[in-house]
Amino acid sequence: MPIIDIPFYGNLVLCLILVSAAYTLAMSFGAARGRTHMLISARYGTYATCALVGLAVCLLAYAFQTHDFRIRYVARYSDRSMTPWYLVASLWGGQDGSLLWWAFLLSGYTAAATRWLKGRYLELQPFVLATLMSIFIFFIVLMLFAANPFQTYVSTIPADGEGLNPLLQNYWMIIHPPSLYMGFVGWSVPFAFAISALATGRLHEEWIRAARLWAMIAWTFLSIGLMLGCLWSYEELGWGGYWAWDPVENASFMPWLVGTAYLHSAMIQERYGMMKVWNVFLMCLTFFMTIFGTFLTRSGMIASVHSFARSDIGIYFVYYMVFLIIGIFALIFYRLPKLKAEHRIVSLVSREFAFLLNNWVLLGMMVFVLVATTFPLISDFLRGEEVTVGPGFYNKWMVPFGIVLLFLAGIGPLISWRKATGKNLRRALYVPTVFAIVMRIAHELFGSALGLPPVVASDQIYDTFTGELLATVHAHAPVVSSTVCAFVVGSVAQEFWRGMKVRIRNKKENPFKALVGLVKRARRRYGGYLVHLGVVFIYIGFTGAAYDQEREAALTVGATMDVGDYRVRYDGPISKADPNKRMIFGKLTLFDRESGDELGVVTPAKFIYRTHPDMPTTEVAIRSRIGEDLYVIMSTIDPDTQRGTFRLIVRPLVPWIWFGGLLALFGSLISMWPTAREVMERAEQHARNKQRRKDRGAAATLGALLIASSFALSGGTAHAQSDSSSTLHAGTVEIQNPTERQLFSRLLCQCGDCARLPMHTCGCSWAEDHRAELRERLERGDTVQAIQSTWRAQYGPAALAIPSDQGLDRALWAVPVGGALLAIGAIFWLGRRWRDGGDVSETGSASDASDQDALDDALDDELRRLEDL
Amino acid sequence: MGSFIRILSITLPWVFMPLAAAALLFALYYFWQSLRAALGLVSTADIPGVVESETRRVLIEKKKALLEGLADLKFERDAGKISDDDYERLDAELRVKAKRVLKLLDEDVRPFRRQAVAMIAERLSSTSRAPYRVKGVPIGSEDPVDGLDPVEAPEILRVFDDIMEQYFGVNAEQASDEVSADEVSADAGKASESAEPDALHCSSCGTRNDLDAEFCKKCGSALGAQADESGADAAADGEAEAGDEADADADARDGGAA
Repeated sequence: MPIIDIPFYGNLVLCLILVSAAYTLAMSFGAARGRTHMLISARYGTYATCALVGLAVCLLAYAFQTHDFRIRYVARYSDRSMTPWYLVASLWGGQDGSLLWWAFLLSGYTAAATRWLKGRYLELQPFVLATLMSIFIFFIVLMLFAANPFQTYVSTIPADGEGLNPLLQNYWMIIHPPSLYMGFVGWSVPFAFAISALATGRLHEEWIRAARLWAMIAWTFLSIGLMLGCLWSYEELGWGGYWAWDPVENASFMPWLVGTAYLHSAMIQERYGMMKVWNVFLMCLTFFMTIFGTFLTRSGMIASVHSFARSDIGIYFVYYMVFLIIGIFALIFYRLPKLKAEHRIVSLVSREFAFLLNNWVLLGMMVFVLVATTFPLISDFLRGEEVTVGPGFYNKWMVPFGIVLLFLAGIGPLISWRKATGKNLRRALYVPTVFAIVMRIAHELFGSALGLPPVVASDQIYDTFTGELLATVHAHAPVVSSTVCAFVVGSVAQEFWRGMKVRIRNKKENPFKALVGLVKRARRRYGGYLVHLGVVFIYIGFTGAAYDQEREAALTVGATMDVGDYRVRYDGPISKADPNKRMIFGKLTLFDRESGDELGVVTPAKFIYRTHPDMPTTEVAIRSRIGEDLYVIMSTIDPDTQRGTFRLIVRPLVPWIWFGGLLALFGSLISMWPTAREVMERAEQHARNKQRRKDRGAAATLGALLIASSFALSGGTAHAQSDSSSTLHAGTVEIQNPTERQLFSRLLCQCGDCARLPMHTCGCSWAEDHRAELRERLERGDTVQAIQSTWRAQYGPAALAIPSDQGLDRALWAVPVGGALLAIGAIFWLGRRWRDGGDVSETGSASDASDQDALDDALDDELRRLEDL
Repeated sequence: MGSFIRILSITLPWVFMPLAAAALLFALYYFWQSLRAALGLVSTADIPGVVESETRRVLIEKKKALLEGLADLKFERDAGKISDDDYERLDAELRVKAKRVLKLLDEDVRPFRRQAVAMIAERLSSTSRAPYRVKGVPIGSEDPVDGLDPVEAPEILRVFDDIMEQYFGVNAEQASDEVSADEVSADAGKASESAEPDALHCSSCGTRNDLDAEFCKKCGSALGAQADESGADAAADGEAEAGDEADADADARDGGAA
């Protein structure tokens, strides 16, 4: 047993953090009244607070390494057999620790931001520090009163810990949560800038510029986190997909959507001083969504496969959210007079307006996800009826949104700022449209031959008109998606080409130099285009999901089965063991179905951990090629007969998602890199000359970090482990006809412990029995609707995968869709009104001509200098 | 591998303890500094907060945004995204705004600039190299210098001190010392007259050029042969350093070269 009383010191340090943060807060307010020495004091106080948080994390890490099981958190999330790396990962493996980890990352951001702020934005600084400190205070209060990571056992101290959930014992667990948290926590800094802008009334472009870099860092980490989450889900959870619209996933997706909207609309304010209220609101909403997402998943109010320990921290989040809402709205209303736009929209066909539409789609998606995620709660509250909103619902509804968004990504760059005229727009549209048409024809002609038919069969989630409409959209989604993807690629390529042409013509540069110069001059724009290109690849990957082929079969040793272009031979099980677990591999040899050539060996497995014998994990094996993945799951294996049940899924185009993610990451790195102009500006400021090197250092560190994580991202191989109860049940289902699939996909298994999988995937015996029953009913001529309503009557509305299209259930889609329609109406109406209002006529303010000429010259001068960079 | 993990499991706790100790030390140090600062014991000199007024910062930000907007507009015209008519209209609109901002900035900085120019003139007139036409503006002129970037007055002086060092190799402070020492004997006005013939005349067109000019401002032919080598180099360096501030000067030369 360690000699140092870690629990005591841990609690002491938590209290000290609270004191320190409160002290710094007070100093910041003092500084806000113009006392310079207090600003210095607040800055030092901030550093001290951050150092204390670091101290607390080190203490907890030490407790883990020395197996200090007096601490409840240590005992619950580690054991003596765990390797040191997992002992470090346990820091964020459970709720209490992850809150401390959150505070730790926040302290990292805060220290970095404080350092970066030295000598800049002095008027904003006090409130930036104050906002960050208030966030610290919230988390520390939460830890001290509700989820203390240093809490000890009241009675006996266990001899050994319970160990980390085997699900979490893999390398993804070491990198995925920190990256996602980095994305979540990162929004605190730009949010602090927004609040400081509101508090000081300095609401022009200043705060947008200050927050720009930080917002991009947060966005990038959040994107990496989401991507890693997809990879983790795909490779570890073993259910065959990468995104399941689980509440936890939705919780991280929502801030991403709002943050993306912010990044786009901030550009308008930066350039034309418009949309001030909107930007402040979006930034606050992004931060709010990170808190709300955490609340959703941590309060245990909504069932999720991530199943964090439920505790009473939910109510603290509610208090904090109420505080945030009141505070933010009060500030915005207070500052409304100062938030008047300086310019107006000149035309509805302008990039500004395209960005507005982009915001509309992104926020529409966010509201949709929000309503769907919270619908079970709303329904329970309004009518006492529990319902389930399954992934099928999101998959169907999100497709049209996604395609519109992608289309906007293609059209936006083609439209000029301020005003696009018909002729020029037509010329700009020419190349992308040709691209799109060629792609469309190619897809129609060759798609089927390549196994990627333009139109696929799609089942209806509703039996109403809406259901039919959705099914039609879904059926045509592949060809529409490929066409729109080609359109975006065409528009981005054209953008690069046109920019290069201008440079080649004006500056007589060679094409390569022109390209480099172009990107260098407007890194953010061209980096952004690369991100769009990455998104296109991700979409292509998503589209591949329409062509999945799946087979499941029980094989005796030596038997074969066919799926897609593959023939698979089962060569028998292999057993292995190490101190932590027993491993059973199923050896499968792959052959090309037509030529009969051997392609390789895959070995999916089951791992049985010593600490959790009742939770065997499924190790999927993935054979990844550019065109498709072969995803192999070993569902069961009989130790006596050696008979194994295998589920094989051919998933076309999935690797493109990861490639697109990397490309998007590269693009965002380019956007974030300080531009030559920024560096020059700083160079002009002699006094701050040294800062430049530091900034470069910071940028280089960030770059290295991002590159490292991108390697981690690309390093996914065929090993994966996992499985919660859900995958134990995912299994031996044979679907005989489309009607069956449609029916089963709408019903949820009611066995009680499979986390309510849909009947067409759940492989438990209860589901098997009931499927037989349902088949009989279908044969007797019962309609899908009739069976569905009996099921609902029997097991309650929560037994349906997707709420019906009637009554209040209809509100699930009608409210967000109606809202979106209203919003777009409002956007057009507002746009027209702004435009008709016209620009406030700008006549030179009574000055003589020579003066104007001199100013014109000065202006030309400045412009020339800008272009020379 | 196994032994590596064993070594790790022994060493890792001892990594976290020193880390914790370091964090504690940092926290204590920063607290100490923070308290000192709160009590006013730390110099606030490194916080240059007071110099720039709020309106000024706003104006500079606005100027940046407007300039970028103008540049973008031009780029989009060149790329064929926007028609010439629209370009001209929008460009004019933005220009009016940008000029207003420039004018405001100008007015804002005028007192500082006047002061700076006066100070420089005074300082230069008391050295032997005068008269020196700072960026084409005659000494004692009260008019603002066109193209001079609006920076704070102390900033200007510092930049000018740098230029002085670059051009004349004199430390500004030393120079001022010398000035005070020489004050009794050297009459600034006389010195300036005596320095007059030192101006460079172009060998091809005969135009009078500044002492440090590398190229003739009228015909553009090289003056390097006439100017002494080190002087030309220093001028080149100085130009790179002064960059924006020397704009008016540079422009005159560019115009000549073109």
